[in-house]
Amino acid sequence: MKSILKKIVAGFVAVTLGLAIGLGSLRYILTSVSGEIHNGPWTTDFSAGETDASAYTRAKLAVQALLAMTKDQAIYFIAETDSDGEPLDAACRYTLSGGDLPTRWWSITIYASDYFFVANEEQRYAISKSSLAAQTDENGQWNASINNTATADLIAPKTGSFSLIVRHYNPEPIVTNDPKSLNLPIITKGECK
Amino acid sequence: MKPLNFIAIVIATAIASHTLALHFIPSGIMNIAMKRIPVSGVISAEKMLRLEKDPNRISSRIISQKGINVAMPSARMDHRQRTVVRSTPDILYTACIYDLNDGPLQLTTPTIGGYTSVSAFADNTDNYFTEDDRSAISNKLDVTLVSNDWSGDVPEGSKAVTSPSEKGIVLFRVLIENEVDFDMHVQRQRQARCTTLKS
Repeated sequence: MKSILKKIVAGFVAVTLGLAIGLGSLRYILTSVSGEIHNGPWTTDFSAGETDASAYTRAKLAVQALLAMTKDQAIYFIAETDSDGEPLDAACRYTLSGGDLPTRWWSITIYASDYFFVANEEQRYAISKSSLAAQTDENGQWNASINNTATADLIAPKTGSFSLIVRHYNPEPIVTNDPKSLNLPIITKGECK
Repeated sequence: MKPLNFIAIVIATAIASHTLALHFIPSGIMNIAMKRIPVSGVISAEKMLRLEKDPNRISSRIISQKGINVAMPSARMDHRQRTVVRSTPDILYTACIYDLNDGPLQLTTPTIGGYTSVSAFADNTDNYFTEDDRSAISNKLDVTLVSNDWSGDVPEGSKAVTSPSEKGIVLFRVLIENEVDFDMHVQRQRQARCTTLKS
């Protein structure tokens, strides 16, 4: 009797452990940023949304960017680190600097760690080619601030990590042909609390 | 239980749960989105009544069709939106949850005034079709989604596109290129239509 009970308990433990490993590993994969193409802190996956995408790409897209379009229409570069490779941290101030991008229109949006907008009454969730026009210099360069104060161009969460997405709508061919050559925005960390 | 049996159960359970969840997550999340968008992704009926000159034009259709096969314009995205992850406030979205069991679905939108696109997503999240204003004819996008087993003619001037699944989501996007033209972009957004073609 004891022997049977031991077997049942051992079986239960084995199944529970197996579920934890199987589902835990999947959760880790689906919530990590690991696109096939890297450019500084930015990464993207050109197979996202395609009908021949891998099962992992399809599931990752469902979790992180549902209803995103394929690369012919829009390309999305995601950053979860600064340009030195350090994770984006709401306790720090950042400066985003860059120039125009080879696409019909572009924008940069900030997201909290749950992939939704950071709650703020100022509604500063995104900057774009249009909104940055006034702060672009004669060389086409611009700077934008990221922190959790009301005056920031992009308002970060109070705590935790966050991510940024650069959207390219109707990208020029160079974006898909040579994505590593793009001058995507630089993310520079300033002071931290 | 022998240690080898224990390890075998752990490995088998891990592989099975990982593979099954990987397979079902995309369709599961799409199903949740298809149920939630008609409830939370659309402009509230009260706001619709305030905005719409003809209050019965869009809102009554959404309600009578329970959010299926009808264009549902969303308010501009902000932090209160908790239905679809990583949307952008620079786009005005109009969703159309479709079910082709009711017949082909004609999608139309004018394209004057800037970036406009219509995208179709199968029930496994695949973006199997997108067209934007650059390929518009007569300043209009006109597409008819049909199911695999459907045969017949689509309306003249409409492009037939076969959906890989009976159900899915269509998303119209209108870019807010300049804030000063916001009202004009809203008017553009509100002209998107999803119409079931009865045989």
